[in-house]
Amino acid sequence: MTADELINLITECEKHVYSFCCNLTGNRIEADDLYQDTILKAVELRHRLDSSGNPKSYLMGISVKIWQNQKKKYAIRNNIIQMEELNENLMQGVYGLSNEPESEIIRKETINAVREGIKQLPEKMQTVLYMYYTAEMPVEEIAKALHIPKGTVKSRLHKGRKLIKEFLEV
Amino acid sequence: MEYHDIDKILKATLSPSECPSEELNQKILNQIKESGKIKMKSKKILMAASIALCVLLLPTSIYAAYKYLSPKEAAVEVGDNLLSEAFEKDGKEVIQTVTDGEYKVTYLGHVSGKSISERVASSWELHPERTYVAVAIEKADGTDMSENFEESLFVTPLIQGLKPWQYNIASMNGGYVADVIDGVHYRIIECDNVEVFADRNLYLAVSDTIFYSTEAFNYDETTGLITVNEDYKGTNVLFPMELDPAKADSKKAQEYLEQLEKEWNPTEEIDNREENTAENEGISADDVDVSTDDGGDIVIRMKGDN
Repeated sequence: MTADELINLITECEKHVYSFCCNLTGNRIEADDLYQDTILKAVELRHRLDSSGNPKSYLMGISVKIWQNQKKKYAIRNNIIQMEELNENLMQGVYGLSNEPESEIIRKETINAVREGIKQLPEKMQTVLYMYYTAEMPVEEIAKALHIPKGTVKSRLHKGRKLIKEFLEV
Repeated sequence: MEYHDIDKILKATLSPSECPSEELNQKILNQIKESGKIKMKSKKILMAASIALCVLLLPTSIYAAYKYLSPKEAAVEVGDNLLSEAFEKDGKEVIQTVTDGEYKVTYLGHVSGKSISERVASSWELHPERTYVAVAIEKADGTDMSENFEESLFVTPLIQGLKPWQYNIASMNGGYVADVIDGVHYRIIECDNVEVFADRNLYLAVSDTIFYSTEAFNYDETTGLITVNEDYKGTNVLFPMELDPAKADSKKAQEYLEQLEKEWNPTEEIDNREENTAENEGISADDVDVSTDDGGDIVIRMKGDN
């Protein structure tokens, strides 16, 4: 992949990649670090990126790998304030502003509950959910990025949804 | 709760909605450049990059700013180090890209001032304050621009309320320098300073024509606004040109327009001058002959003289 192609790729995917990093890390400071490391690694490995394939998946794969290898470095913090800020932004982005305070509260609670539920899941299941819903990758691409069979991806997605559903119904 | 519901909830909760901040992108860009892992191949030596600030008029990623030379760098490439310093010190970077027709046009930035360029011309003595604009033009299909400048391209500031076919770079003592680098045509245009009109709508117009084209752009005689002609088949792009409104000066603007008028109609001025001279000396205009010699210079003789 040429430098120009890489630059175009980053431009097109930055929202997906950054949102993915936010979900993986759970706070903006570490998301920034992970995003930065992902891009720099992609630059370093750009000769391996095939512009005719799905380079976005490759970027996500890089992100996951870095996250898995350097979790201690990122020192996961249970920073309540940052988590709430992240959720506020997400709420406004996804649902838009509502003039109905009650529905707003319900939406916020739902988002918090879903996020809380996801955090309870095994990490491998979380990763697949984020890649599917945040990075908006198809099953085939997730399988390719994580070097696992498609069946495993589908299984993790299915189980993840089931567990979240049970969590919300409690 | 149905499967469909949980899928919908997960989509709504986890959909991408976060973007990296400009500061983060800038930091990453700095690191990429410092690492030297990406080098632009250049037919001329590319100066060590000064980091381009990305002023977002449209949601243009900072990576678009990285792709092109900054106005400062473009000035160096065309051999004008003085202008490069002016871009760095007082210039405004825009980095706005539009693809239209055969070309992709990027408005890189602009700067205005007096004696800020190494290029000089005698016609500028009357108008020492100049405006400089840097643009990058590429082929939309990704092929290289001609190094022999074979493409017809017209780049000019335009001013609301002034007929664009009359007031453009060609008539406002303008000119340009250009170079093709990595297949991209970089052009720095300059003309009389348009900052005095900063309280009006100003435009940077780019078309695939030799001169200003009334087919490419529309002018509303009532509002003075200029727009692109949507029916034009080629490239016709208008960028808003945002100058500091504090620099607007209606009095200076009027003086400039009057001066320009005189420059466009020099014979009229000379006739007036002669008349004044004749009156002062007790000679009427009827007593003088005005003609031009072989060299094109105006010759005034008393009637009856050889």
